[in-house]
Amino acid sequence: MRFPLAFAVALPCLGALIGDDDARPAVAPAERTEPDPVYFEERVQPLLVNSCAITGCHDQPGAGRLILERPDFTGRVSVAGTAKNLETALQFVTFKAPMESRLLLKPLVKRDGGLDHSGHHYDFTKKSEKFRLLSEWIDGVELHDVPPIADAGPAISAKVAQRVELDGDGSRERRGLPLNYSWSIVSRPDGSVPLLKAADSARPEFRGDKEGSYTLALVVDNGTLSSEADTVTITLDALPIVLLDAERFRSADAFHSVRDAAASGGLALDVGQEISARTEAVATYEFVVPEGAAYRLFARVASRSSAVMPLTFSIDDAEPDAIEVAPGPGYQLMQVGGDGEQGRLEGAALSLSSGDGAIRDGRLVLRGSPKSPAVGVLDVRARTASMRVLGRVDQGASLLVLSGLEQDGSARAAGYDGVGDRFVLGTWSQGALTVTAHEPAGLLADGAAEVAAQVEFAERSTFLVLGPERVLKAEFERASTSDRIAIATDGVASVEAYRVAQGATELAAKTFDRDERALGQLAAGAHTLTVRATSVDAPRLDEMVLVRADIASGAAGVPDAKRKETRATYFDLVGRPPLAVEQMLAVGLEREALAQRLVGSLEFYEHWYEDELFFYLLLDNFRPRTPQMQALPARLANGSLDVRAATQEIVISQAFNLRNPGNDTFVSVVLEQMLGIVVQDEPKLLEAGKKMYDGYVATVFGQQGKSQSDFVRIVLEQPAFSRVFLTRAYERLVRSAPPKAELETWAKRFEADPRVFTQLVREWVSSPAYSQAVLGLRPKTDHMFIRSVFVDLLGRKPTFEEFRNFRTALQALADSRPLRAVLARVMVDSGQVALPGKAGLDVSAFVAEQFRRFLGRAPDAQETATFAQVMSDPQAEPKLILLALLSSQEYQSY
Amino acid sequence: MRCDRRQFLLSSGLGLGAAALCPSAFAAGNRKTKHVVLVALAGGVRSKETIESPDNIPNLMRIAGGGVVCPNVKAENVGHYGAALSLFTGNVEVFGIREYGRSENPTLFEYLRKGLALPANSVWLSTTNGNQQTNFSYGVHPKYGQRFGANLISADGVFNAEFKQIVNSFGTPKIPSEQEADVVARMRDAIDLRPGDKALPADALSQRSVEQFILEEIGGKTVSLTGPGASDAKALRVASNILRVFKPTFLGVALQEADVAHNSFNSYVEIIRRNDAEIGRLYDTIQQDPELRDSTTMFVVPEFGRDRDLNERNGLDHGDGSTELNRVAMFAWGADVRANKTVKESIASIDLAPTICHLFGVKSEHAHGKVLRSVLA
Repeated sequence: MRFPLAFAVALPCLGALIGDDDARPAVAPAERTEPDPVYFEERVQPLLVNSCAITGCHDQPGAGRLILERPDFTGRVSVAGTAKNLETALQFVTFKAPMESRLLLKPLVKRDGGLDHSGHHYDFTKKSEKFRLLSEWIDGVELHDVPPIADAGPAISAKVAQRVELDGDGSRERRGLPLNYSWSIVSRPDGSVPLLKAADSARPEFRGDKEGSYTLALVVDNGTLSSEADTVTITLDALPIVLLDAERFRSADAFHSVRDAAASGGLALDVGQEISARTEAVATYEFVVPEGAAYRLFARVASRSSAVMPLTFSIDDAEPDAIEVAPGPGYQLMQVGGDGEQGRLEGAALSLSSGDGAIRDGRLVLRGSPKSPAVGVLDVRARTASMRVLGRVDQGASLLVLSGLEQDGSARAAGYDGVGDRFVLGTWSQGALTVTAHEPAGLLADGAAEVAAQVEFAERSTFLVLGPERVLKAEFERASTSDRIAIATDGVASVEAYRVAQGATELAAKTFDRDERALGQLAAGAHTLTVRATSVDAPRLDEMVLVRADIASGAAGVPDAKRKETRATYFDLVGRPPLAVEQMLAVGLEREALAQRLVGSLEFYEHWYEDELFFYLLLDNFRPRTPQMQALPARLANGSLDVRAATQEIVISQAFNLRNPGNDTFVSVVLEQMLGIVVQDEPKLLEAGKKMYDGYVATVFGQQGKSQSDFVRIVLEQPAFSRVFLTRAYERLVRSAPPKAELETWAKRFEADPRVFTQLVREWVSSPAYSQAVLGLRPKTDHMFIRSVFVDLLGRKPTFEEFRNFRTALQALADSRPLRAVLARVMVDSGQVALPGKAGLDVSAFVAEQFRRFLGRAPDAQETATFAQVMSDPQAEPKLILLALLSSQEYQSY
Repeated sequence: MRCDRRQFLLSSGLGLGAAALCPSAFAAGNRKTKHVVLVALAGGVRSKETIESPDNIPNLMRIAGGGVVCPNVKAENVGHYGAALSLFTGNVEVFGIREYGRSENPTLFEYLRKGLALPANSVWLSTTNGNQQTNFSYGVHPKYGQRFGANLISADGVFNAEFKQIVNSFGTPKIPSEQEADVVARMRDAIDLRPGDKALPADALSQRSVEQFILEEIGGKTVSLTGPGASDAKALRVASNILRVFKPTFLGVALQEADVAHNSFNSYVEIIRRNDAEIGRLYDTIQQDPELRDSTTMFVVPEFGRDRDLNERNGLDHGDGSTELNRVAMFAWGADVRANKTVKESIASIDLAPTICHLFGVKSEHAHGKVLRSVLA
């Protein structure tokens, strides 16, 4: 029987088969080949499940082949259950022959021609209503005037102010007519004014403003008949964070990065793109703070160190070869996102001064003409992404891609030179191309050319330069299969100031001078946020977050246990403590959800990369410096590289080679570090490896090779590599050896697909072993200490130069604690740390706040008393409290 | 013996008697040695460029003139790290080249600190760079370990221009007043003291004195040393300062820049010459200090040599198993070392650790080397 398999689909589609001339169609029985499923659902199934499918009869094996699905406790049979019951019932039916159908004959009394039936007390006669219903159905009679069925979807749990999408897609109109939806709020918590948007759609949006339970009803109709109401219950928990939803703002595009909303309970507003899209560099947003709670606004500002000098360029029609590139006041900001294997360019970051162009459906299309060439700037926030440019250029036109933009305006250039009909490589500087290498293209035989170029976006901007007389379509692709791509922390936008206005009253206006700032309290109601960018020298506004005021002020507080867990998870996954606002964001966030947010992020891979470089190279002066290697964390984060391939790149890098000169050293180190082999015990293997290193054909691990890279590749393919690699990663995280049996399982998964690494890390973070590890104090590595002292004291991460030099220094001591204390002192004395004056200071409260800030816990009574006593000394200043905490033994752990 | 404020604070904090501050109390029997300096001339240095080319090492020859030269020291080629570590443990240490692990055997530092109940500031190690060499400071033997480890400073890691520049970007480091240090210490003690503790462990106090030393050194001249071999030079320069300030019972110096020989023979020789000059400076520091002059013994020895022949880069590797690789020359001088003597008998580099322990009357129970009685007076 085929029909039931497509039951859910077939029912609504049935109408299409029966003509449109009658809104309530009646189908001639002769046209049917099977009994009407709607009749079954409405009339027959209730009869069967209430009479036959009772305990001990046709609801379990033992009663022949007629086994039926029972209704749930509300008396309903699911769509799937109905389909199954129909399929079962049809096995006992001969269409149009009721008196030959066992489904009818078995419960028919014997005197009326029925068969033996052990459940004879349910039998009926030919005069009964049951006989009539079954006979009609088997005869092919259809039901008219069948109302649709509403399905409001399953119960929902969410957070206050979080957008909830209701699901009425389960509703059915079984004759194929279009459905109308009508949602209404039946009940709500006292004082609540929830938002129900698009209540006449199948999937409306709901947002509650208070904790508690909401009941919503759905009624559907087909224009004539209405369903009974179905209800759904939505339970909302308190949410510390206001979810800034894209659609609440003027421009949806600006909020492509409402990232991890589901995981984090909501953040954030990334304003950069909107700024860049406006020539005046001012962006305005409107948002509503829900009733019932006040919020504080936090702005996170990224380091300015990576700001890219903005460029604009133009092409002179009269002199096609004279293309000028010069620094200008504009700048661009965009993100590259992916949607799986296809890869797409998401968001708009194209700025055109002439011509026509747009990014549509992830594809960039540019059109130019001699009068109006396509001229513009394309910028990518992600450090790396691959781009494939396919185009047709007319004779004389050129296509160059500039990348690796330097502060002096120079850049690498690659592309097609239409004048010389050649592919070129070179540098772009002072508005001119210096060709360093070229190759004849031979594309212009017919007066036009197909051009393809593959370019790796580097750390800085990439530009398309289009000459006149061309119509070109450029398609951008990303090789990644991941749906995540690095949202680069290296941005290019700069923000001078922002302000928040409530109605006509300006609440605050601030110029950034540090990385994180709370601006004051925002009451419930409508607000307008204005962000203005004027200079590339200003810090870049990274995101804005609204945090419930009682949490932001510490009144509601973050429980010490939660604070410690969050702190430990941040240390383990990204090598630093959380910023204050991140600590608040983690309230109500399960550890697994936090891991979901952090693992696989750019910062996660930057941390991983640093640890790996330290492991493989030990010394920072052998650090790889090629753009490709510097972009390695971003390539990992955007999914274009996996950790095994990344390891291979590290080991075959020039840096590794310099660190390990000569065949003996190189081969020994590779075998030791990647496979855990003691080379003194494997002299033959060592010799074969050295031979291969030197370029001779040799065999190791049963594989032949004749180069250094062959050797590395073969080693990486050994099962031992997976075990050694994962053991190291596990021990780094959990600080204990992995269980042997589980390690084998993990290793097999890793061998099959190294991209499983992030999933494994998430599993480890969720494991009981990690829970146990988090409970105790674990020593901070020097890496962690440096980052923690910057984040805890200055509210920012160290620049790479700061990190590198401090790390090198700390590694110079067997016990780095004295130097750690020196570093903390230098920073506290720098004047960059916000410190209160002593006059009027509530010492106990200040001490408690600093204990939580640096140690993740409140002070005990003795500590409070001692600090208070010491601070009673007139010479004792608040900064000394910080120095004591930062140089304590406990701060050396987390 | 001079007792400055630092030592006074240390002694009062430690609750140790005068013996803890007076190295003379450690001298074994009638030995005069109260301080030992061991320079591991590591990085792979052949005798051919030392005792067979005296012009390269005028200072070492000067030192040896008053002491002993041992031209026949057997060294195990187990990689730089393992071989240099062997000098400090008295055992052949088999370690991977990049391995970042500690020895299972106690080091000289641990033997001396445990055997003589020394505070951390009496035992130091100055190295060329951090990372692996930090592991020389203590092993993982359960009866010894970190609590008996050395204070270690890798000079080039801390006292370099980049670090100073970064530090200065936050402002000139300020040395705290005594009053400020006291306030911070009282609050820090409230956190560090665990329930039931009566006083801080000795190492906590030791760390604070090292903290002070680093603050003072950051402003010093060591930072300005540059050029080939500067890292080794800094290690030796810092060693001189440590000797002057702390007058430690034992000071180790671990060099390694000579390994540049893989790619350049000429640079290798230049580094040997520069190191010789700095060792001469260290020797002079000892000579100019009345307390150290007559109570210090000094040893200088490579961890192993190098190949007999040049490689294709006109450099010298270390893997041919030749005599040049496995036999090196050691220089010794001091109060308890024989004068103007060449000891030709075959000895081993792992004999050095037991010999130094012997000078202090401490038993190196896990070391496999033997005491070099032929070297001692």
